[in-house]
Amino acid sequence: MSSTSLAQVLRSRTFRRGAIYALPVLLSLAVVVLGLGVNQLREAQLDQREQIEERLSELAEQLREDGLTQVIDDYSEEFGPLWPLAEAGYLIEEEEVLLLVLQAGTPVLGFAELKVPAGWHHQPLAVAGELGAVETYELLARRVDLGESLAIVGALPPTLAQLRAREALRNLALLLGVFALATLSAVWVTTRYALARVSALSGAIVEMASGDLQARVSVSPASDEYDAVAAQINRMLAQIQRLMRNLEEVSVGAAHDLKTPLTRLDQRLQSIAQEVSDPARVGAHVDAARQHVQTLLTTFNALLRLGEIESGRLRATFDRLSLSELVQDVAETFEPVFSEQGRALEISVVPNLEVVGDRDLIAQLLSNLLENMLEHTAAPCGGWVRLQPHSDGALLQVGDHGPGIPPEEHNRVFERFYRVDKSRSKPGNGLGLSLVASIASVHQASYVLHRAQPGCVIDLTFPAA
Amino acid sequence: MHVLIVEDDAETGAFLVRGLAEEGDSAELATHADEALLLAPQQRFDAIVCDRLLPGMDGMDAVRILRKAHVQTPIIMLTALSGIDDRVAGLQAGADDYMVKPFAFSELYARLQALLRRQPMTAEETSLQVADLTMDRVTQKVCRAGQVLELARREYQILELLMQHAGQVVTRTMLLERVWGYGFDPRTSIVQTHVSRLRSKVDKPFERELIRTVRGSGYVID
Repeated sequence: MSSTSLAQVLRSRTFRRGAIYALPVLLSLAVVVLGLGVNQLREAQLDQREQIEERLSELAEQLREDGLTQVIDDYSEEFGPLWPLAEAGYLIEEEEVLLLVLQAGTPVLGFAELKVPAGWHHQPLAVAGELGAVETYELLARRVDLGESLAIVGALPPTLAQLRAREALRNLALLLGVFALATLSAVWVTTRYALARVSALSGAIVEMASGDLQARVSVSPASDEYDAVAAQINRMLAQIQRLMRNLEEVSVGAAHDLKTPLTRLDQRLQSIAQEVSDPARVGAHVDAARQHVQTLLTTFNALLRLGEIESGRLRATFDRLSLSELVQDVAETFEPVFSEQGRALEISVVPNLEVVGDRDLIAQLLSNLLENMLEHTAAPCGGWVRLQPHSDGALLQVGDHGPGIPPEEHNRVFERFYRVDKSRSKPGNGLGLSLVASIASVHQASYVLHRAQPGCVIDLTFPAA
Repeated sequence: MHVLIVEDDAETGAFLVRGLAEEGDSAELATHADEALLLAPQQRFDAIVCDRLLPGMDGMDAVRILRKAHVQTPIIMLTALSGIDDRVAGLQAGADDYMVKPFAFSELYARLQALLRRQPMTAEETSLQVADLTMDRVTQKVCRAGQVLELARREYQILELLMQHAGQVVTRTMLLERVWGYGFDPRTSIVQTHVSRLRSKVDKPFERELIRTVRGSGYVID
């Protein structure tokens, strides 16, 4: 995770997407929340101003009507013309406007501590409370000049509503900040996590590409979407490894299977050259040579056929056909071959089962299985062919009572050129079951080999037409 | 017979000409499709053997052009392509038969003979006869020397094909294609087994054997 750089994160699509989705939300939230807060604050402040103006115009009225001396007298009953600062604390609690009257710049009435700049202004005022604690109020104040060197000042601290609005606004802004920070860090963390997981995935692929066929991605037990992809990639890597190994074995197998008939062919040609004067011997050599060529051609034809089947090209010509009739027909065709060798082939076919497929391919599939049986088991070992309905369509079973195939070979016998008989001395080219597997796959039929007691059984499940 | 061979590979061409000459037939060799398109309508050929992959033109297109020009000569296509759909495409283009390379000359010759013989017998005969063996294709009754023979379905079909081409070699591949309809070559001798069953019914109880094996190629009835 630490390997991801800042630039990488910023370039990442996850981050950009996240940011693109988060920013408009954050911005509109900010506009709405802050706008509302500021508006409320302004309204509260307007009330404050109105109260100050009202009190000032009341005082101005009194001054105009009664004169300065009378007004000073009226307001001086309790404390004298200049009021003690402690009184301001009470007035503030009562939300009353603090007043000051100036004559030629000198305080003559009210709180002398108030500062007197012109117009609207803010000023702090420190007031000692009853218990001696000093509290500083942020006052909004206004000076009005009344002429004849007379000026009055009114000051009021923010109202409770104003304080609340201000605090609410501050809290909202803070919340917004935290939210924005949380969102961005969530996007950031997600991005770094995604980058780390993706780089692990690509790392394994790079390792595989550079030749390490064992490379795999680690799959966490969380089984999230990355694990799903990782599992798929691992499956693909395993498949590639299997294919690579298969390819190696196929090359070796093919070389071996082609070399044997070629060697024999060469020997026959040499014999012809040696015995060219004896037509009878030459004829025999020629016949044998052609047999070896035939073996080679059979192998090539099987390979071409495999290629043709696996290309999936034939699927375009697939048609609905009676699997029952086809299986019956092929099995009956082989039955005399079995009985000629003194063996039995039991045929049991449930009629009217249909599949979508290619008649020739399915005939070849069954024919390969029956030929395998003829080649790999000996008389009097018999076999059986069964076709019956299955929940997914039709189940074709072909089995024999022979020695069977060892379970550890069950998966490998379908590989090309794979031979259970490692000496390759028995007839066949190791392609018969590969063809069976390919034909089954192209028909979306599943196939599984299992061991009978004794013998070998293959189950082929064809999907219903 | 006189055969037009359209084949660009000199070795295959020479192989075919030599093979036909040995059977006492004559052949002319064309190495290009253009040449074949000029020759085929002018001369009286009994059959045309045409390779699929020719320089400049697909043999299948050449066949299509010839058929459009009302050249009715039987044509066998030769090809290195063995796909099932290639075979179907070849026959749809107007070829009468289709053979995959490499092939045995005897196989090609048997097929040529079968094509030539088919010409005058276009009307499907309802009954076939070879010596004292008769086949009624309507009732599917087969008799030899007045005795009714009970044949299995495949045995009947094999005998029918042999009798239609009486005196000519019918190869194993031809039987597989026409009796079973299989386009693949089984490794086991299913044809041989079925023919031997047929023989045990048609020939064994009687004095003269009608069905002969032609070594290395197939069977003939006469």
